[in-house]
Amino acid sequence: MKFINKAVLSIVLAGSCLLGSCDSALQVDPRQSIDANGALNTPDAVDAALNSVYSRLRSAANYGRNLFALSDALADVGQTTSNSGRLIGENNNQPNAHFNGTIQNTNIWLNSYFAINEANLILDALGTVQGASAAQLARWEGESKFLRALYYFDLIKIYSYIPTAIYQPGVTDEGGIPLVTEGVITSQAAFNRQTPRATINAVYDQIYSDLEDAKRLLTSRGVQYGSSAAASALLSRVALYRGDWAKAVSESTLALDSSVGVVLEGDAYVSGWRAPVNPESMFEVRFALAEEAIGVNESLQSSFTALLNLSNKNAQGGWGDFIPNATVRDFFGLSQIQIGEPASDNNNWDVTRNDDVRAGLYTTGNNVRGAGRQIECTKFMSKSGFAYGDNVPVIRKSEMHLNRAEANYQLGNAGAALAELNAFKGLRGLEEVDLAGEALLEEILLERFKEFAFEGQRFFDLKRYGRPIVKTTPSVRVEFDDFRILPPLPQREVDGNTNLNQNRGY
Amino acid sequence: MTHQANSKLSLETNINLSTFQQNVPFAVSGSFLGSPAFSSSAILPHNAIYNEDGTFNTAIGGVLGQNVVLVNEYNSGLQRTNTVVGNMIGTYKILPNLSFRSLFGIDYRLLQGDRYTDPRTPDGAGVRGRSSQQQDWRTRFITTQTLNWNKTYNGVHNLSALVGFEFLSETREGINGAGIGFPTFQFRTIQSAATPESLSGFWTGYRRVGFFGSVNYDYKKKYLATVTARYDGSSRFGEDNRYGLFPSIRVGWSMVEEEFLKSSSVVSELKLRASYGLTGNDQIGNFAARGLYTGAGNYSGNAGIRPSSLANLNLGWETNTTLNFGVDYGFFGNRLTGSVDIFDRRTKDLLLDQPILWTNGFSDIANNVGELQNKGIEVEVSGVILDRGGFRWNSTFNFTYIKNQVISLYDDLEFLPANPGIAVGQPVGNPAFAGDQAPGAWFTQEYAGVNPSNGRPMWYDINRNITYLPLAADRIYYGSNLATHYGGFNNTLSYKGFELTAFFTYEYGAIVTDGQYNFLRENGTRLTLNALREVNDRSWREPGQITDIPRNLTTNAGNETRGASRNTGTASLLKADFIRLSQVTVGYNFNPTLISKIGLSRARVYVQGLNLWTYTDYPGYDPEFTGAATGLIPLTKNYTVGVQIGF
Repeated sequence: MKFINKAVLSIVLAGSCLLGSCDSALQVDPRQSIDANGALNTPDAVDAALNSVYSRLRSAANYGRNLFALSDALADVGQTTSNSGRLIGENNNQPNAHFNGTIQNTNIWLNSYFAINEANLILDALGTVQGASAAQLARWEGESKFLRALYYFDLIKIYSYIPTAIYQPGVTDEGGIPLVTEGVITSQAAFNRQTPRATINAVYDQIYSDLEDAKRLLTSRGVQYGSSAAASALLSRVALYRGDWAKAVSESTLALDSSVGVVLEGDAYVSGWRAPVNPESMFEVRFALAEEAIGVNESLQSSFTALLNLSNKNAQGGWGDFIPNATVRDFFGLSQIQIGEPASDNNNWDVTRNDDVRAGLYTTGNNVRGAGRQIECTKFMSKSGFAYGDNVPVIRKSEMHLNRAEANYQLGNAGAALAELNAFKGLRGLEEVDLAGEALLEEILLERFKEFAFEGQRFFDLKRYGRPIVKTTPSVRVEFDDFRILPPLPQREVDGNTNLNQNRGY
Repeated sequence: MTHQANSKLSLETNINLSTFQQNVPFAVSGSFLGSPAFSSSAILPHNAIYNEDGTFNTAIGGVLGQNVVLVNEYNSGLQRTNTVVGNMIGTYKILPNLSFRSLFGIDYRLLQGDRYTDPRTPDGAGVRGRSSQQQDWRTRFITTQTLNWNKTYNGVHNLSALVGFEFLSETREGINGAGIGFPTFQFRTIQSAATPESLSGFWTGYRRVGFFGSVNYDYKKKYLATVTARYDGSSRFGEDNRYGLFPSIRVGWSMVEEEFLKSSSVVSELKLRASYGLTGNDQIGNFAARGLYTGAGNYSGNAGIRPSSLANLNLGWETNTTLNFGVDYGFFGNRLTGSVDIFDRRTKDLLLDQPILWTNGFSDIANNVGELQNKGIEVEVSGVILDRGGFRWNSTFNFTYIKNQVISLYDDLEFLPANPGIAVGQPVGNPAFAGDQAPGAWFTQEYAGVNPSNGRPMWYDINRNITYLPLAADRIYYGSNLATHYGGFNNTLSYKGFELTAFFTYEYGAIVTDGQYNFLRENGTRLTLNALREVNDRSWREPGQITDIPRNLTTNAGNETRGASRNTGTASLLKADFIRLSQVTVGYNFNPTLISKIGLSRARVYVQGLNLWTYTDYPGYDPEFTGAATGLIPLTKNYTVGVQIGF
């Protein structure tokens, strides 16, 4: 019958078309998408659009992998196993092997600018949302600005020099990154907008201003979302990178005084890493569903360990491509020991540990994939409840102590810095130290290295102090004046934007 | 089923039901470690598939730690296509020379896919098995209404005309899902899964309407002319630009019908043809012209939406204007026949995904970006080379040369911003699959071989100096994956009941990159992969050695610490030229009078081989492929022995 109906319909259509109007016959509307015009004029739509901006943080290009694993591979934290061949180029600081993915899943420039555009579109649309309450408007604006600031900060720390250590200041090609704060939704704008690199200062100013707004507008609705405290915590790190030490101190204090996140000590610190939501988190990226897991090839878990879980080390897990080097093993006194028979059972192996409680975050992996059993970092162990699913802590509250200690040192408050460092060492089961001057700064940075190993901070800590990257395995020495400190901007962006200067050396 | 209702009306309906099911392999392309097409050439050959007791060897080391036989034994997958195709045609003779034809057709397909990743395989172990299911419904409805008229004047002027209307609607709708966590490997269907992993679906569709008309005229079959025109609208285009007009004209002069050639003993066929016509192309995404927000980006258990495409109200038809001159010829009673065609096809308003700067929040937009030219010559010669004593040798040779280049781009650009492979004067190449984006010309750094003194790979910079670390500024154009010369050569030799057919095809001029060969070209330096003997033999070993394969480094993924990786630039480009014996058949036809005694009208035995021999120096699996070639199942050699019997 349906067939006959269609037949009748088409004769009618033919008739109407012959009379001159076929436009209705040619109107086919998508069912899984809506028109971009007016898409954001209801509160539910804005909520959904904001979810997408958050969800882009999950990409392997951002916190799903690269901001933690790739940046640590560039630094002096670990070495590669060649189990799957990943991160070797980055670990060798090979030219071009540096935040340089060519596809959406791996390119942080693409993914971040898409997220920034989405956040800009939300901000642009806030005046037209029907039936929105003042509280909703404040939350949307605050969270959009928090996210925009985070994306810009992650981009500029990668693609540009950090204000505290700019190689050859004033050289034109070493600017910041394109700074866009208006959304693009028309082809006209998409074709014509060719944004040049803004100055580093202008980008940091924008990040400051967005985070100040977020602080003012937000409360907290869970650590997977931006909050006033998370904005302060991020601002503390941004200020540290900018050498704005007083600001770093004041924002760290604000963050520490907030009710968001806790600073853990002793065994509770290690257990914190075993909980789905790390209690230390002030802001974390949520992996809620098995479908969202990055999977066996590029998840943080697979990058760092061959284990599937800690209860049975013989279960086949990921690749374990990137493992601690001798420096990190020495921090925690790690070496392999056999704890039972037979030796062929991976469960009969573990590591020796010193008094540092963080040593509990390392153990032996397995040889199920045929590669050797290695000492691995177990900060990411499917703790969301499905394989390769871990919420990623972007900012942990502990960082605030280290930020404040470092900033206080730079402000000349060595006493406050030392006291804070020693208090923190106590939380990690370490003896107090009595240091002053340069040695105190070195100890603070060393503590930071130990605390954030496999969390993607080390490369930027070296970069912001203008220090060389020195590794023995593999044997690498990248001086601060080497062009490999910065990655290339995506070549297609340089090809397509005559106003965009490529980084030196590419 | 046909039914002659009365002297004027006839009805015809046909309906065709079919179901087709096949087991599908683990993968037909891509670097899946369990895929034999990818792994078997790269896995180290000393790894046994079976242990001595007959069980699978699961202790295969290295990145290719999967036993491909085990994986393909334990995993399962099938694809089923159920089809209903129906047509209803009514023809009504209004006048003896005027008839109305009405066709309604429906093509309804259901594609079902079912895959199971066994928990005993490495990929299935982490998730304890995965079952995934796909259902894809495709509906295509078409109707054409035509009016046909013809008349002959004075017995010499033949005139016919046709006008019509066409409507086409296609929709695709699907649902797919996956579940993980199976009790044991025996449970292989999705309802046994502990955890639903994903659930998704899609809907898409488009419509096209067209009005068309044509007039045919010939004078004594000697002078021929056809004029046609179509006026088409497609729902895929921007609201302001949905319709296109596509006229064409074709004229012919059958010279052999002229008095001065009628009596010729040499010329048996001679016809000149010329045509000029426009056709439209709407092969883009169904909603490519629309600015949309789509459902994506769920976060923390809540749904997300994001902008997915930019609106392009001006997006319109791509128009192909073809100018063709041709000659059909036959000599010596058509013992030698063939044709020559010269063509120049201009593609105006070329449909391409125009790149958008990522800083503007999108990757690309479907747009009419410029003009493309395809010009060339096509020659076919067919002849009886020998016909003596019952022995006959027929041969057909054809040859095509085609030059493909971009003539112009919008705004007088020299190359497409953010995609310099699409550039004026350069070919656009062959898309991997029909409807895909053309890949553009190769635009990359030229490989200069290996430095004889130290074995390091070198490239040319833009000033033709040698460099170890080529830059973006050093890129040059280097051909495309489009073959410029191609054709075929068919031979049939027969003697009495025996018949031998040999069909060759050839291609020349394509430059390709082969993902599978690139892995093997690493010579095991990055990963513990098997190597090709000829690559390993060529690798640099001693000062003074001239070669194209760099020295073997086992550190740093096989790369020089301050140099580009060995497969950079044209180092990984290959010529895909070949001559192939595509088909060879030897057959014997039994004498009809002999076999009629046992009630047969025809009996034939034959042996056929496909792709038995290829002449090429291509180092990968096969020079004839589409896509990235990684994990590609190459063209198979195929032998058939057959008996054909007719009653």
